[in-house]
Amino acid sequence: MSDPLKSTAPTNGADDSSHAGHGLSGHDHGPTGFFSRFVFSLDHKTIGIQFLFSGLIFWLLGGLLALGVRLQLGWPNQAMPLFAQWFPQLAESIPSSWGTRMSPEFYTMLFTMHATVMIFFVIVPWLGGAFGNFLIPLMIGAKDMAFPRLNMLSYWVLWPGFVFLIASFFVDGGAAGSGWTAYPTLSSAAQPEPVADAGWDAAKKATAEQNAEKSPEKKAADAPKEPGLVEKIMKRWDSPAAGQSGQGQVFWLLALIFSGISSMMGSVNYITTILNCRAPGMTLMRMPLTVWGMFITAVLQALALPVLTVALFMQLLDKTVGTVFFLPPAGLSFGNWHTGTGGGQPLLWQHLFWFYSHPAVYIMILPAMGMVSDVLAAFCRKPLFGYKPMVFSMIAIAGLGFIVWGHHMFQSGMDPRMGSAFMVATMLIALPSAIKTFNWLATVWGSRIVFTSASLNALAFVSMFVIGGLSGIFMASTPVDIYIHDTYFIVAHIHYVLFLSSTFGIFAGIYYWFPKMFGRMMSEPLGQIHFFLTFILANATFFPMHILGIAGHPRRYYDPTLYDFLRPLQPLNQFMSISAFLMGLVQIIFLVNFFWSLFFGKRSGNDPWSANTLEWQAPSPPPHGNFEATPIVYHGPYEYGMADAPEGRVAQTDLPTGSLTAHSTLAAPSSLDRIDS
Amino acid sequence: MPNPLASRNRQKTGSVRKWGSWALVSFVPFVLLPFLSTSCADREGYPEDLDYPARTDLIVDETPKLSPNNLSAPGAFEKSIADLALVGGKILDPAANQDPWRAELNELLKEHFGTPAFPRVGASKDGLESAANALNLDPKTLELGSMAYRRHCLQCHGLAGDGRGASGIWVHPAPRDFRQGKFKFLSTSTARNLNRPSRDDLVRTFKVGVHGTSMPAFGLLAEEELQAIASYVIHLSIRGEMEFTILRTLLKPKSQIVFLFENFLPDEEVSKDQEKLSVFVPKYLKEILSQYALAEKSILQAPEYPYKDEDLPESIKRGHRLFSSQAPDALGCVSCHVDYGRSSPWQYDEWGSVSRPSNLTSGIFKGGRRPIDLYWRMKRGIPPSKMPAVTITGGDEDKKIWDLINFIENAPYPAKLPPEVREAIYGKSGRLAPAASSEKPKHQ
Amino acid sequence: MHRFWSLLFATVNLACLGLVVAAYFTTDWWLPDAASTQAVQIDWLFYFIGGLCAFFYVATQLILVVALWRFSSNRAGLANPVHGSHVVEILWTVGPLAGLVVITAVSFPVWKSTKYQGLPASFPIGSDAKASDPDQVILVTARQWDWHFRYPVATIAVNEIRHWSEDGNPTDIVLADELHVWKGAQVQLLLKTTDVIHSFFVPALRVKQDTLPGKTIPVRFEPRLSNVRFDPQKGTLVPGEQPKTWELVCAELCGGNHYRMRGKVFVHPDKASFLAWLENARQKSRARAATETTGNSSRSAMPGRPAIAVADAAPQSARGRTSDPVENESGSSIGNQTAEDSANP
Repeated sequence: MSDPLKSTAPTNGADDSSHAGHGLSGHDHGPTGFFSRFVFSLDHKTIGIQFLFSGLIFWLLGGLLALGVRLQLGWPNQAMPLFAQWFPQLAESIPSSWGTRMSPEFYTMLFTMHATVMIFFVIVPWLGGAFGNFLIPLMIGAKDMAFPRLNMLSYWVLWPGFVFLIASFFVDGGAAGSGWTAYPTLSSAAQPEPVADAGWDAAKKATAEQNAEKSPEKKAADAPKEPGLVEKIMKRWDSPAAGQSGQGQVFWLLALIFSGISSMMGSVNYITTILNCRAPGMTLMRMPLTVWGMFITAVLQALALPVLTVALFMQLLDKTVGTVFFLPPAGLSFGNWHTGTGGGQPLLWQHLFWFYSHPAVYIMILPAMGMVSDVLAAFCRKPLFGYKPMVFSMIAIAGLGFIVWGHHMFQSGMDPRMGSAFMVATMLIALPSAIKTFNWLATVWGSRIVFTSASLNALAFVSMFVIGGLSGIFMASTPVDIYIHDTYFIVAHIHYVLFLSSTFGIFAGIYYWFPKMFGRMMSEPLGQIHFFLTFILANATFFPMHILGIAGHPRRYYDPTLYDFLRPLQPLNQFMSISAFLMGLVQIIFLVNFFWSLFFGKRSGNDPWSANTLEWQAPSPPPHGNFEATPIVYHGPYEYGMADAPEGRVAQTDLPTGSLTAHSTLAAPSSLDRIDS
Repeated sequence: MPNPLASRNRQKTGSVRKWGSWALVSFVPFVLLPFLSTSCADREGYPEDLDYPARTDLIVDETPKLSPNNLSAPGAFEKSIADLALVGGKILDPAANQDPWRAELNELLKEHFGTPAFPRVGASKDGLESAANALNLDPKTLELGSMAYRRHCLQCHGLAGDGRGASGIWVHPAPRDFRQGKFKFLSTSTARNLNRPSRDDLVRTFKVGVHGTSMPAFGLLAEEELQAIASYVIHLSIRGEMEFTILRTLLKPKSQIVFLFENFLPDEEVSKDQEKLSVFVPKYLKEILSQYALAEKSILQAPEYPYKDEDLPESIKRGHRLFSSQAPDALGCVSCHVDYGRSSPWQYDEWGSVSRPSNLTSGIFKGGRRPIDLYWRMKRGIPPSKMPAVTITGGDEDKKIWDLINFIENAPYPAKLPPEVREAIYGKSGRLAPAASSEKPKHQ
Repeated sequence: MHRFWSLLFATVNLACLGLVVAAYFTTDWWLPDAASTQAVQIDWLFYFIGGLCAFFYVATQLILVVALWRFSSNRAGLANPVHGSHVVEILWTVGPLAGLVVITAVSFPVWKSTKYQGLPASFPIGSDAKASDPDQVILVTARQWDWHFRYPVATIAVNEIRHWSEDGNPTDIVLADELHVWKGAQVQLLLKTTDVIHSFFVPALRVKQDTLPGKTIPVRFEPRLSNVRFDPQKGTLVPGEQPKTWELVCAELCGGNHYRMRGKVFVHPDKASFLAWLENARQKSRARAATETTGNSSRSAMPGRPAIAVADAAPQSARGRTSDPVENESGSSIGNQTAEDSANP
């Protein structure tokens, strides 16, 4: 009889006996060498942490861009005190500023890039890339993702995106400024025909005549200097619609294409891993909701991202090669500039874009919902109320999420009958979100809440998601949307679901899983202070936006004080700007906590939170291969409050008979072995 | 069973409570800030220490004889000015010259025209105060105009009125560069080569905008604000013209200050020791102000309209003939407005940018669409864009000019043209009149 | 300590609710006048949805606050490890579903009556809801960065509207940034643009429609409040029954100067006033003589401080909706704002 502790997996020729007891990865202690361990790592945990740190850098950038927006809105006409000194390059390249104020174009760039950075380079990489990568194999008991190389690529493919994004700030015209929604024809109008190259042939001829009598040196000095090829090509991208719709917009499109490729790679990986690599006993209905969230999100990404990627390519072609996907038949006029004739439709972009971007908003919340469920159950010491309804609600949100995209286009000129159809679906999608909220409340009710930074952020998620979700119902009603579309009511809704929900969910996740990632605890007092201040200031920053929207304050306005009906709202704008700045400062507490704890935090054990899910069985941080031996799962993830269990809870790997022996690590054949061979 | 996490709950609550309370307390004053700051708003004008920059962009001394074959590309306006030198134009580069008189010029400009925050026209010792006040160029009005300009006009027209603001470099036609002292849409007489706008010309442009360009209408601003902006624009224009004139003359090789007097103040007697910039500037300023004052009194009046409604078709026909016929008593407009403007050739205007005679079938009239506006365009031309003034020979000038105007007004509407005119412009397959009106018209 | 957190959640939510209540009673911090018939319907929907949402909001936050207060880990014993309850799940599925269905059902007719105009009657679903012909047709062209309103002066038959929208008439009056309609008129706007997507949004009328390059999109509404009147003696507009300024804004990003596509909406009390104004505007737009200049007659320094730097106006005191004079700060009447005119004193 074979030793039950011994893996039956092939070990690539290494001697089995000498590696007995090292578990599945007995033959392989992991890569050595700096680059293969920390840079081009194939280990999902390292890749997850790479996503985490990249996301952190872009979070700071996105936050600074937002503070620029608030600076302008709070004081639209005052001179910017340090603008010219802090941004001399910008002050020179934007001649009308000269330390007086930012130009309206700069402002459109600020809000465009704020949204772009936050959505595509912060929230999605954090939720999917960082947490998804780190947690999925650990929580399902796998040793790594199904496709480790694809996983590594999915991170590194983001880097060209980073480069294009940052480079776009420095091109002629500045970074993209047609909104993160990039509607044609503002974004897509291409250079008018005919294009001027200062008449090179005529110039050369005229110059040749003029220069005939000059000395050779003078001839050389005065000869027309042709621009280099790269410069020539990039100048061809300049747009008559707006300065930032030229080179900056092309770079924006390229950055997003790479971001999309990264997510598509990741999603394929996650779906395969979750379906195929679960530990024995880990049925789908025993997976933690974090994994469910990641799984459903991955399906959304896999199905929706190709549409966005295609749309991005179409716009790129319109701008660079002269296709007319989004150019109406009669062409466009911008003063003396007339584009050629077209044959396309601006509305087509909106359909393609929102077909992805609506599921995108669920991509940005479902993982957080899953994480919050886990955190809440652990800190409420009570099972999650309604596991199956929670799972089915997430599936319903995702499914319905594919047929509601038109609610972004109610006023767009789309046939209003389509609007009615989308209204029905949009109303319906509120329901599963409501069900989830009630289930969370029922989890909290009658529990024994432990107030930690993690649980506080999770509770705030639940509370604030109610506000974000309910404000969505106003927009779902098409007639009310006539009024509130493109006002600050929408901006309020966006930020309640993305900041006060998703980002609080991310904070909860970081506070909760930091020990697992880095083996150290974050400081609890600093975490609670951070939460307290952020909670108050975030509400102070974003709740008044509802009022602005009700009063009719439009979005994306550089100077609302031009309008009689908006001037009285200016105190609210100032109040929000001050709150936003304070909130920005408070995030320093979080950063200090994070980085200090990385090096000096108290060492956590495997399981600082006494939580049930599989990742807490592994060491903190888990080694290469995650578990010493494949775990076997006997229970669901939320068996808290169990009176007859030693710590009042039953971990997923606890033996079912109430035996008090150690968690099971019988090395039974696992599905992983099949993949190895 | 004890809650394993219970101890965490009780840890450090003291310090959290303490720090949290301090944080909350310190937050309270900030809540009051917006209500305090509303009452003591910063001055909403230019920074007080900001000066008008010395001109560094290229000066177009002579536009090329060669016709351009296309427009400048978006964002490439400066380059297109520089490239004029390659096609036979003459360009002067202020940045290449740092002679001492440049510094003197900047000082003089500051002395006579102030700063963006505190603009003025004329130094106190010039004795031009009454002339400036008569044109509403007093410091108070100019300061208000400067604040309004900064809020509404700066992003296109730039700090010194150079038309190269952040928005301005991305539109075509470029926003007006005020610094040559030239404007397109004037209503003032051309007698004595006067080419100054009246104040109303400017205010009208603000109110209506320039259709066919990126200049929007500003008619919803208060009348006083518009008048103050007009004053400030005139100030920028005069200041710019002073700088432009001096630079254009003195940047040329072998030029002397006396050339300024000879070319621009020919009637002034100046002695040798008066050949200085500090003498030229106030004298030339006085001359410019008197030209503006004269312009205010020289608004062209149109002759009385001689026709009734039923005369319109015949009038249009006559106007069409004047426009398009090559006969000696016709005007031959069609030689520039080729194919009624649909195939006009490109040409350089005096600012060095590319434009072309307008398309008269488009219904877009940049200088205004009222009959009096069209009259002014034709009667005194658009000198910077090389549209000549219309000179009608052979008698009956009053009638003929209105014939021409009637034709221009109706040319964009094929359904309203007499058949032969319609065919001439739109061809046999051109658009026809709509279906006959129903018996019961329902709409206003 | 847990009570502290419970109180935090309670305080923050109360502050948010308090702000909503305060905004309702603060001048200009709430919905503007309901100046059209569809505004009344939309406002009703808004309050209906708001009421339902307020109920759920208060209920859920209250449950959370109470739970945080009562159920901390200081409480003795373990939590009752209930995993779920079918009954409760059904209840809180069916309940909100019913609410959502009702909201959908009451929203649909309003949507239909506002936006379904112009649909071909032959299509089986949603045929033309507004059977009546419009009383007024105006062609609106949005461009970077203002609005052109083209008012027909000659009468146009219904079946000629399309031709007119493409060709126009030489007698049309084209004004920038001013929309004139009259109370009770069935107004139809035809929205066009030649460059990028803009959006025609008048908050007071609750009208919003994006303009699309390459399409002409109709918008229908009926004003029910009047804010100006045309005085034929003075030849200018004077404040009307509701002397408020109703503004037009652009609601779709259209470039750097998107924020300054400002227009004004003037609702006359009846057709007569509108026609009188129209005739006056027509005469001004057909001016064949230079009008008297304003500049020369008032060469002294400008009286008072013009309406330039008012970015930080403090909110009006919360005494309910006070009337906001439609005259500008300098006291001159609105007639000055007519685009073609530079002569009104």
